[in-house]
Amino acid sequence: MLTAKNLAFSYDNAKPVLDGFSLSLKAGEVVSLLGPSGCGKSTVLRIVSGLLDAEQGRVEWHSDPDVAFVFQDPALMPWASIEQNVALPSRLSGKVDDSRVAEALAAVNLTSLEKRFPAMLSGGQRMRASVARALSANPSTLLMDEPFAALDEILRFQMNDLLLDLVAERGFGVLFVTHSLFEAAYLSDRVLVMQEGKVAGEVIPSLDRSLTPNAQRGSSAFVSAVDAMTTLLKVIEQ
Amino acid sequence: MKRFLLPIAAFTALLLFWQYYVTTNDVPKFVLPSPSLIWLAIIDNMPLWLDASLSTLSVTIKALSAAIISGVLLALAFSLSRTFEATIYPFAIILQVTPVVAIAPLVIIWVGIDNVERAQVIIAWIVAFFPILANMSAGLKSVDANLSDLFTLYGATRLQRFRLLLWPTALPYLLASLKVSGGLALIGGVVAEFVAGSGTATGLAWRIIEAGNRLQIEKMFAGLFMLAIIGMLVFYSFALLEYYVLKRFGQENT
Repeated sequence: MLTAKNLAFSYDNAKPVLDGFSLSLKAGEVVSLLGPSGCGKSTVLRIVSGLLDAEQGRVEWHSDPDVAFVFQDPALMPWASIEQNVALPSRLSGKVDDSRVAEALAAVNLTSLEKRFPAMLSGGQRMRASVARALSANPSTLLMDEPFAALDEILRFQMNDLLLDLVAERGFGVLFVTHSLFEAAYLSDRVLVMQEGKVAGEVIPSLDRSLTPNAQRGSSAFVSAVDAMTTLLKVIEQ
Repeated sequence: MKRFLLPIAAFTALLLFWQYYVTTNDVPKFVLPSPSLIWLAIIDNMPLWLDASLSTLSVTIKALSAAIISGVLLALAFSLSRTFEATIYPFAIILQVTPVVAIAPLVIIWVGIDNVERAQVIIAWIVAFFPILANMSAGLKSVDANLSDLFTLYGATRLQRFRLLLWPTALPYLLASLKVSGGLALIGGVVAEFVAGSGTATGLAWRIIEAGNRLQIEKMFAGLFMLAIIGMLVFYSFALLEYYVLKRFGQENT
């Protein structure tokens, strides 16, 4: 439903951040972008979302281009309740839909805290609120920029499973930027390893989703996916 | 409790020492009157003090209102156009760094000969306006970049961006500046009255000058005391406003 072809971009005429980057994303698919800092991962998300315009290449949509964004920082409005924060996308579009907001809050298990303000919540709860806000926009594509990087490992595992459940349930596509090999291997249908503004290689973990989360993380498919990514990243370093 | 009791205890101790020192050393009352004498000067002339306080407070409030409106509007204009900000901001700084005592005589001559209050309000506005402009500008610039991106992504109109993002972000900054500007407006009003001298002035500053000219030092102290009360009233009103507004928005910790 989304194809990006030969994207090129540079900030302030410096060395190009993206140079001939391409990707495709299908509905219900999780694609991770993995690579060293400054390889252009976040720039891809900004171009796909329309916040930035590519200098070359183009982004093609084969469905409604409605995207939602989740950042590493929950980026909640501190002066608004969780419910008001989650309702932000519908409020801005002028179509306030209470049932959709309630549904999004329920999906991340925050219904009981909807009247609280962000400062009263834990880091994990705030991130769930941030995901709920994205869900309430009812996106066909979810763009996530290292969303769980600031969480501790137990919370990150929980958020990973929550995300996989939501994808299975709602069928949106996810473009996921991460620094973590393990997170990429666990979440993704495909991992794009990036180098100097383009895709250096693709890894397909193909985990057996019928296993428990820990069994998946201990499976040989998981280990060889991590191995393949490590090899690609080592080649990049040299 | 400590926050109230300790300063009150210290103040009481100071008054007692003052009274004791002045009495035992026979200090003449035209050099340093005793606290009890000052208290009598307040009580005996209550209608006068209330009248003068009301006049000073009215100048302060008018100047502060003008400062809030002009400071907020100018900060908004700055946030809309960097060019406009670069052009105008230096003038605001010039107005701020030039001592108000030096500007006051001019303002008095231009608009204050027949109506001192008008000049007082303008002078007080000049000093009160800059902290509001500076803080409001800083507040509007401190908008969370990610949130700003989300507003763009979800198609916010300019009005929505202002009402739902810029204004609430800047509000704590504005409230903090009011505590400063409230005190400055009072100072500006007093300075104006000192510069104007007699004429039609009716505020506390004029009562202080008048008492000084008659060598009624205890009345000077009484006037100072009333000024201090008004200053604290203004400061704590805004501190309270800040506390309740921020509490209502759930961000008293930020």
